[in-house]
Amino acid sequence: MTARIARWSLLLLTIVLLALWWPLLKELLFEYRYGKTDLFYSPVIERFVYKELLGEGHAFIYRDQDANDYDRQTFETLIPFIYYKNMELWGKLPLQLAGQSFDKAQIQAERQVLELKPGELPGHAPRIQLFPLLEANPGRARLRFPEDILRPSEQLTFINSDHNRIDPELTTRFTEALSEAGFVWPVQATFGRVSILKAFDAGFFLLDRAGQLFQLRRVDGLPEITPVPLPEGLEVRHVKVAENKRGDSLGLILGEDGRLFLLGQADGRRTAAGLTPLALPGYDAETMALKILFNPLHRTAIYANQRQIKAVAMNRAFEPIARYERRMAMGEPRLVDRVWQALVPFSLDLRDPNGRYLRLSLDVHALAALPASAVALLLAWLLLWRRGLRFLAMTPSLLLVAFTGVYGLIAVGLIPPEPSDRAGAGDLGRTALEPGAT
Amino acid sequence: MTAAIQVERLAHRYGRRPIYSDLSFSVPQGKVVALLGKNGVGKTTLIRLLMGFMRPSAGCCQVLGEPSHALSPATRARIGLLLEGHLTYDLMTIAQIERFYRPFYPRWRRELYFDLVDRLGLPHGHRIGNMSCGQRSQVVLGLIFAQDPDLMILDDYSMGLDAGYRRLFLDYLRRFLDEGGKTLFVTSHVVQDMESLVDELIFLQRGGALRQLPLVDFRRDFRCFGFQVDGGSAPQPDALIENVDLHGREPVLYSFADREPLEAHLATHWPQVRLGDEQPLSLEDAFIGLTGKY
Amino acid sequence: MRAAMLSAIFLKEWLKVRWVWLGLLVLHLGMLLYLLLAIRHQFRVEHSEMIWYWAFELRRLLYAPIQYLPLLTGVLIAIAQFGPEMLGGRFRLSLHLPLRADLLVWSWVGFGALMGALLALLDAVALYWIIAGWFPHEAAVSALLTALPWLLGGWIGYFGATLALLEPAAPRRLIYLGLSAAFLALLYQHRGYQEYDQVLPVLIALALLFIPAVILPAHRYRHQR
Repeated sequence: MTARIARWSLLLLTIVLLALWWPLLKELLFEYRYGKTDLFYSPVIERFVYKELLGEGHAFIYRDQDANDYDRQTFETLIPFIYYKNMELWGKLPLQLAGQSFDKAQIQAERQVLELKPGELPGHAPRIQLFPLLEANPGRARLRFPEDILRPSEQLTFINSDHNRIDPELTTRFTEALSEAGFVWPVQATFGRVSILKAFDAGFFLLDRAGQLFQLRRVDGLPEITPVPLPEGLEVRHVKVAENKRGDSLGLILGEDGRLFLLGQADGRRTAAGLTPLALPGYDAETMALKILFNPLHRTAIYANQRQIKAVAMNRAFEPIARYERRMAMGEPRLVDRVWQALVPFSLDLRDPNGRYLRLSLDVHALAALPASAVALLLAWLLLWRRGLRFLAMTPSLLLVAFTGVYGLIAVGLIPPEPSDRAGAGDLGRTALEPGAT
Repeated sequence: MTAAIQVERLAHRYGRRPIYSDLSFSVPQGKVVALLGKNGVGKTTLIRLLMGFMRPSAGCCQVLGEPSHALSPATRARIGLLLEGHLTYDLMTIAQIERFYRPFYPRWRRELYFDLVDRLGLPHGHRIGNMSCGQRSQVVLGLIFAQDPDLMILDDYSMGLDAGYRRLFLDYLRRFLDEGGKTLFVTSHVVQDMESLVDELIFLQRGGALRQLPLVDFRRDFRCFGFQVDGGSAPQPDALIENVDLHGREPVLYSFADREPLEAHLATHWPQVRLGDEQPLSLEDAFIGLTGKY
Repeated sequence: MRAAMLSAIFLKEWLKVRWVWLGLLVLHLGMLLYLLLAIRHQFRVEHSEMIWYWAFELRRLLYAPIQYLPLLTGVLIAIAQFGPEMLGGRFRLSLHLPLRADLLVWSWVGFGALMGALLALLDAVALYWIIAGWFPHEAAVSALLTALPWLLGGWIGYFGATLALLEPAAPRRLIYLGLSAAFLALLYQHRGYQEYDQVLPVLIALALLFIPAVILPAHRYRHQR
C-alpha cells in the first residue's frame, strides 16, 4: 500500500516539475528577442509613429499610425525632440514647429521622462522597510548617504549604521515633528527614491493610518514636513518619486482605484504641490509599464503590457489631444507558442513579469491540447499493455494521463506501476506477471 | 510433520535467462537440510527467493507457513539468516551490534552471543570491520543463535573460512541444534562438512534438475565402480548410470544401483564394458560423482 | 514499533553518519565563521551606510556564500547513511529485521532529516545572529526568509540522494537524480532577497512528497526480479 502511495507521490512530483519546467524550457529553446514597440507622438505630422522589430536580425519597421513606412532617418526627423542630437548633427536646429522655434537648450530644458513599472508597486517586490533619509541641503554638489537609516513604523526610528544602534535624539525630533503636523500613527507605507545619483532629494512620502500623505525631508538636519493635498476620496496606492531638473513635478501618485495623478512641485522649492489628474484610458498599473515623455510641445503617456501598447498625447496642460493603441508584434503569438501550448493541457509559471516575487500562475489550455492528450492517452495505454497490465489495473494511470496529457505520459513512462501492484498480496501463484499467463 | 520450507513449481529467470523452471522440494521441520550444487546453479538466488528479496517468475514458495515474499515481521523474527560472505555491519563493535539487534527479537539470548564471541578473546569495543573473516563468522553465528530462531537459513557459511574456523562453526552449530526443535537449511561448497551435520540433501543441478534424499540413503545407495572398455566407446549416463568419469587414472561410473542390476544393464546396453571393483566414496567424491566435475 | 527498536535503529544510523556529521558541523562552523569575518571585513573597508544601501536597495546578498551549504549537507548525510547499506547488499540485513520495511525506511530518513535539521538550525540561528550584528533586525529576518529556499535545497538534496542510493536499477537512479535536479534548479533563481516568500509554501508542500516517495525504491529493492 505504501509503495503505491510512494509511486503516486513521485508521479505527482514529476508532473508538477514538468509543468513548471515546460515554460522555462520554451524560453530556453525559443528565446523571445523582440522587445516592446517604441511608440511616439510626432509633433511634425501630429500623428503617432512607431518602431517595431518584426523578425530576425535587424528587421525594424518605421511606420506611422496610418501605415505609412519611413526610412530610419526620416522617422527620426518626425520625432525631433527625441533625436535632437541627430537634428543638431544634420543641421536642423533650431527647429521650426507649430509656429515656434526651439533651440538645443530649450529642448534639453523641457525634456523629461517619468516612468512607472508594475514591479515598483508595493506588493510586487519584497522591500526591507528601512530608508536612508538624505540631507536635502548637503551644501555641496553631490548628495550623500547619511550614517543613519529610517525605520518608519509606530514612530520614525533612526538607526545609526556605524554602531547599528538607535539614535534616540533624531528619533524623537522627527517623530515629534511629524506628530505635530497631524500624522496619525503608525506609518502605513513609505515611498521614495533611494539614490544619490539624482538632481535633488525630495525625501520620503509617508502614508498615515488616516490615509493622509506627508512629504518628509531632512533639511539642515531638521525635519521639514509638507502635507500633500489629496483630492477628495483618493486612497494612495503608490507614489512614484522622480527628482528631475525640470522643476514642475515630483512624480506620480497612483490611487487604489487606478487613477493616476501628476504630483506637482511648489515652484522650485522641491516640496509637493497640487495634483494633476491624468486621463489614461485602459491603463492598468498592475500589468502595464507607463512612460510619460515631456517635450516643449507635448506630453505623451505610453503604456503597455506584453501584448497591447496604448498612448495618449496631451498638450502642456495635460489635456488629451490624440489617442492610439495597437497590438505589438511581440503580442502576436508565434507558431512555437501555439505548438507549445497545444502539447500540454496546462503549465505552471514561476516567473512574474510584473514583479520580483516568484509566484505560481496556472495557465490552462486543455482544449487546445485535446489532440495531444488523446495521443498521450493512447501511448500510455500501449505502454501499460505491453507491460502486461490488465485494463482495471491500468485505469488509475490512464486517468492520470487523461487529465495531465503529455506530462502524465512522461511520468507514467518514467515511473510505471510496480509488478506487485498487480499481484494480490500473498498470492504468488501464476499472476499477470508474465504477459502469457492469465 | 509440517514443512518449514515448501517450494512448489518455482520458476525464476534473470531477464531471458531461465535459472529454473519447475522446482519443488520441502524442508521438514526439525531437520537439517543441505542444498548442494555447483557454482552458478542458483543456490544464492534460491535463498534470496526464500527470504523474499526477490520475486519468483512463477510458482509458490512458503516459509514457516507464509509466502516468502510477504513474510510478516513476527515470522521474520523466527528466521535466522546468514547472508553470503557473513555479511554484517562492519562499522559496529562487538558490543554495539548486540545492542542493535537485541530489541528486535523477543526471545533474545545474549548469553549465547557472548559465549561464542568471548572465545575470540577480543575486547567488546573491537570493530567488526577490523576482524578476520573467521572472527566475523563467529560474531554473525552468535547473533543468529541469540535470536533463538526456529529456522536458520545459512547461505554458504564456509566461504572464506579456513579449516579451523569452519570446524569451529560446525561445532557450535551442532551444539545449538542439539537443543532440538531447530530447522536448518544450509548451502555450502565444502561437501564433506555435511556428513556430520545434515539429515537430508538436495542436489541442485544446472538447468534446475533437483534430487532430494536423506543423507543415509545417499551414502548407502550411491556407488562408484571402476570399469574397462574392450574396444568401442565408453558408456554414457542413462536411466541407471548417473555419471561416467573418464578423467581419472581408471575410468569410473556412478550409480544408485547394486552390482547385479548394473551388470545386467551393462550387458544389455554396453556389452563392451566390464565392470570392475566398487570403490570407496567420501561424501565429496559422491557429490562430484553425482554432479560431475565440470 | 517499540521505542527500543527505534533507538536501536537510531544507534546504527548515528554510527554511520557520525564522522560525516561531525565533519559537516566543522564545515558549517567554518563557513559561518568565514561569513562573520567577511562581513566584519566589509564593514571595516567600506562605509557602513554604503553596505546598508547595497543590502537594502541593490539587494546584494552578503550571506550568499552559504547558499549551497545545506544542499551539500543533505547529499553527504544521505551518502553516509545509505552508501554503506548498499555495499554488498547490506540493505537485506535490515529488510530481514522483524519490522515493517516502510517504518524502517521512514525511521532512517527521519533520523537523517533530524541530523540535517540540527545543522539547518545552527545555520539559521548563526545567520540571524551574524546579520543582526551589523544590520537592523529587519535585515536579519529578511536573511532568514531568503535562506529558506536554500535550506529546502538541503531537503531535496537529501531525499534525492536517498532515492538514488536505495534504488536497485541504474536507469531509475538517473530518473530520481533528474527529478531532484529539476527541483533544485528552481530553488536558486533569486536575484535579491525574499523573492520566494510567496511561492515557498507551495514548494515546501511539493517537497513533502519525497517523504512517501522514499518507500518506492526500498520496495523495489525488496522485490527485485
